[in-house]
Amino acid sequence: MNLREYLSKMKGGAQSPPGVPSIELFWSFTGSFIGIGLCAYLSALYFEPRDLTLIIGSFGASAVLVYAAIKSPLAQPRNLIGGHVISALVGVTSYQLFSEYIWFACAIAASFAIVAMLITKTLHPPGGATALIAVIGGEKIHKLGYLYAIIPAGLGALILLFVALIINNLSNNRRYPEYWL
Amino acid sequence: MDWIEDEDLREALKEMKTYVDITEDDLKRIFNLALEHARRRLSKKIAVKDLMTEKVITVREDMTLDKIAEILSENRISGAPVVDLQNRVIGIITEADIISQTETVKTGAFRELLRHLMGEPVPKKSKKSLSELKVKDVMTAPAITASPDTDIREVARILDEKRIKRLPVVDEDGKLIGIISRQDIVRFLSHESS
Repeated sequence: MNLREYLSKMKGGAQSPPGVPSIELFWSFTGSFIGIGLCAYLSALYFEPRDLTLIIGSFGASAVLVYAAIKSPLAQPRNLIGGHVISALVGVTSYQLFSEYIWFACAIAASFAIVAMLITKTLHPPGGATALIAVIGGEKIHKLGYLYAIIPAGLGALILLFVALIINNLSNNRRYPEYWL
Repeated sequence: MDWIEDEDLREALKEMKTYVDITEDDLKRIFNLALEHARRRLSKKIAVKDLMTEKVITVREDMTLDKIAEILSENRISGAPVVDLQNRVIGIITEADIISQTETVKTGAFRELLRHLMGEPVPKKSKKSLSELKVKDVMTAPAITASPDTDIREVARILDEKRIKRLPVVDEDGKLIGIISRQDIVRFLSHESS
């Protein structure tokens, strides 16, 4: 491969996918509003007063997948739950091992989370953020230790999944999930 | 994929009516690869008609079981298709059907339930003797059949799934034109591997 060929790869060339019908906007909005809203509401009502949380930044990215790109393998239950829990475990471990070198803990958390998700066939892009949050999420997250993998990562993902099952399947044109395991 | 244009794929993606996480280019590549695999698979297809035994020993539904036992034994076969006067396959009878009618074999309800759950044919029981019982009383009907163009891999799958040893091969009118057995397939596979 010469330099010209190498650079020509950066031109792309494929067409961007077509847009979606407006009804899709409605279902995507409704699903993510209820899913994220429920996590945030339960978090504020029950978890925050107990020094816990049920909502982390990566859930916003999960909402994009499970309410707007529901056919994607990345959005299926195995990936949603597995991706968050496995990445959270990787993230907590990275922090506990390398807390003195935060930059290194960050890099190892995200990259190991990706590898772990690939190995376990649970690739879920927001999992990378879940792993990273375990390192840079602040004192409150660090104090959770491995509980972080269950609350908020696992339980929050379960709530997003529950809402996705209820809402996505109300649409005539949608079916969720494509598969479970 | 000469007959599929980019705009066809674009239209297909639009008709999914939801966001599909793939570019047209990847979709086209996957489609081409799948098409290539299908072509390769079909080029390797071995039709039943190339392996089947054409000379088939058949029986009639009004024959008695002692006569059938004699036919199976003389011809060293373990089963035979049951045909009507037009040579159409109406069922199949096996040595297991006959053995199940003899008193020496104990067939418990649990064992029959297991056979049923495993998809094996459950023999019908009767208190009559073999000379009184007729083929139609105990045969499995309708029989599972194959067409001459069926791929032998499909036949192998059916034989394995249904736990049976042979399939009558019938033409479009349901008339018997041959039989394909586990033995025919194994013989072919052994030739192919050597």
